[in-house]
Amino acid sequence: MVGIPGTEERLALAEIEDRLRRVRARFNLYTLQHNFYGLGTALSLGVALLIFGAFALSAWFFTLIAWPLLAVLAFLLLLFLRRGVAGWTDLTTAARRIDALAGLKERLSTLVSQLTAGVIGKPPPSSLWPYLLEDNTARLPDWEVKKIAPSRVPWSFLPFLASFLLALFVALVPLLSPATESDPFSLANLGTVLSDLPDRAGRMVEDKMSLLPDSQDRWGGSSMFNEGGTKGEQQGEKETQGEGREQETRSLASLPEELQKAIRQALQGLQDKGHDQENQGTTPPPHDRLALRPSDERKKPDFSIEGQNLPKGKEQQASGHGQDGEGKGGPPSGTGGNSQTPDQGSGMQRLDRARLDRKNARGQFQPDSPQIPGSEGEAGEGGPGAGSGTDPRLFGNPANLGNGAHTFQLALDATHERGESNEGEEKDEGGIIEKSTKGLSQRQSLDDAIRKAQIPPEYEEIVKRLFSRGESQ
Amino acid sequence: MSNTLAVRAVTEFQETFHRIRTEVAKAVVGHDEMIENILIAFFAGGHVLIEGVPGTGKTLIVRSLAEVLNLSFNRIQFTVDLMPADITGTRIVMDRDEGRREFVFVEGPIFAHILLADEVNRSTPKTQAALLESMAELQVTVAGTTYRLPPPFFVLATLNPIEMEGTYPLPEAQLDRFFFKVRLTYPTHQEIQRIISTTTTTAMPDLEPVFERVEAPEKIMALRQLVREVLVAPHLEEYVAALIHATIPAGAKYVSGADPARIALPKDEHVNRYVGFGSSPRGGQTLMLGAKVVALLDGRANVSYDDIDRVTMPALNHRLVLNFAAEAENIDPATIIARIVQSARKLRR
Repeated sequence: MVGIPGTEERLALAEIEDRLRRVRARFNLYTLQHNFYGLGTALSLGVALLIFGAFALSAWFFTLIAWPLLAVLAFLLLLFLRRGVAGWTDLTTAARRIDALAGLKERLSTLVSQLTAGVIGKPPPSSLWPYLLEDNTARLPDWEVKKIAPSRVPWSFLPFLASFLLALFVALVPLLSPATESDPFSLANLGTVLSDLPDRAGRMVEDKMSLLPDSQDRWGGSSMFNEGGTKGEQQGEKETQGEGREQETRSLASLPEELQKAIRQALQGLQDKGHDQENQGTTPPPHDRLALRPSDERKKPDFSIEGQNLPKGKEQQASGHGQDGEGKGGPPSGTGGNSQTPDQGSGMQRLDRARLDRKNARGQFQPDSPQIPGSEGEAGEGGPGAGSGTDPRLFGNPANLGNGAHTFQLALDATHERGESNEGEEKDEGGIIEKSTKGLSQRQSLDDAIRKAQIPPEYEEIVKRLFSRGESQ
Repeated sequence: MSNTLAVRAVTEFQETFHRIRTEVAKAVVGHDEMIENILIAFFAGGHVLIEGVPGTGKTLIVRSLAEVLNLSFNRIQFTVDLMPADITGTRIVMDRDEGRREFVFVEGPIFAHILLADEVNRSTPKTQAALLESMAELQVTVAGTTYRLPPPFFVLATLNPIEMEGTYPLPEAQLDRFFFKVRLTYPTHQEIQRIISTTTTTAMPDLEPVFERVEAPEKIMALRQLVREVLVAPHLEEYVAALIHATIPAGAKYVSGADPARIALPKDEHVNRYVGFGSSPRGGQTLMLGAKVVALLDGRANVSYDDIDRVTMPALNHRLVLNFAAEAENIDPATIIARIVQSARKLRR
């Protein structure tokens, strides 16, 4: 009988079987890993291709490529599954592999085939059975697990790792890019849009209602140098702004209907609120600011005193120099100087600032232009702003220098405001107003003369250089 | 059989085989592989067809083998007028002492352990059939009486490939009864020199029998039985079956449609083009038995793929029936078998 318990034959058979099972487990582990990594490699590359294609290809071409690619991936999935099942080894197959690897010439597989055929407990299948068993036992050192079993990590792990990292990289690139940010005007972000609505509306109101000059006009007197060009630029800029508004309008129109409605309501509410405030306060409506009412015709502005109503750009320049003087801004800087550029801040802030400037202008004297310091505040308290101020001779005779269009408007506005708010002082300052009206006509004539005058090119170059130096400082 | 006995049996087989080879080599110069093939067929219980030009030592090999094995030996020179009775024997009238006369069977030359059928293709098919029936059945039937041939019975038939006029080529069915077909080639220069030096002097080689004459048949039969004890794994049997099926051309007659083979070889282009009929199942038996002898010679109790490949050529080359295309293009069976064996290597894994 074969395999009687306790006999050497049985012990030898048990030892062979035990080792065979261990090697078989390693074979199957390797097969499992190998197919897993192979499949993972294919899937990783496929996913990477899909992600890359989604960004690099057109929608039509991506659709054309994606479906065959998905089909190939599905085919590979089935293929690797089939290979995994087919590669799963039983004891006989493992014995055959060991025979081939260790050069046993089918000794082990013959023995195992007899064992699996149920030779245990039966008469020996052949008189040479003991010889076969002895032969296999003697050759056990030839197929130790370390020698025969495949490595624990198959070679396919490396391409899998590489492809996985590639896919990860490709997947992370769009996540890190702004392209993946959600649509700010989607319904999901309605809360955020509504919370930002006052700011947005404020900016829109500012664009439509602001009295402040544009940032490019900060030098104020640019019209002095190239009036035609400046006008052209301003016209182009207006056109650009108009296009911008048109684009904004288009973008608003492209929003969902309920969002548009919400924005319109908010805008309407904001405008109504603004009208109410302006009607209740001393500030006239925007459309009235730039015009003198019939009852105010007698309240002519006196530019000899109200010359502090500078163009915004000039105010900025003056304040900048004043700040460079470590806070000890002399009169050229003016107390109304604001270092904030007109572009910054909301429209409402800018309106308030303009209002504040006008209030300051009532009690303090400011020169007509920082480049043309008045007699009272030429250098202030040694502020460097004064030192860097423009030479008054730069513009020729100060008497011939008129205000720009903005200066004129603001002066009117300031006069108008003061006329309305300080009716009690009308007697005291009525002469001033008349005087100012005379000065205004005189300045307007001077201004016209300057505009019509031919400015030498070298003169213009000097002014530009000085202004550019001031800007860089 | 205990382990010790088994080891001793395998060892004895190896020693006997090598001793026979050594003794035959004393008389036959060269042809080592042919002699080994003849011995393999002998221990496997088959018969060998030897093809070779005259003077290459065919008869010498057989005679030396019989002398070494210490078995009875007969030689029949086949001619056109040779009758079956000349081979098997015949009944003759014998006068007895009492005056009676009776038919007595006189054994023919076939009644020997080793028979040399020289130029077997020169006799008529009827005579050939008488010999081949004896080879297959190991018995002779004369006048309704069956006579068993003494085991071990071993036939070595020779074919002369030249002088084909007046010959009767063996039918394929007859060829299939031979275990191996061995082709004797011309000896090399050194072998011819040795042949000249050993056979042209007064000193003739003294062959020493491996067995005692009395016990020789029994011992040889024991060794033949040991060959059949060699173990074979199922996948090797599948391999042999695949080899045999690979010799059958696609679309051949008498092939069953449904053949659920677990492993199979693709049909070789040469097989489909040049083979008329493939090997019979007897070819598979031959392969396995020959492989078992080779395994024992290698000291193993199991058959391996290499053992099967080793005997594929002599076992199958006379079992492939080639068509006219092969003859026209000078394609021999050895070429086709080599291709089949090469393609079958992928079945090993």
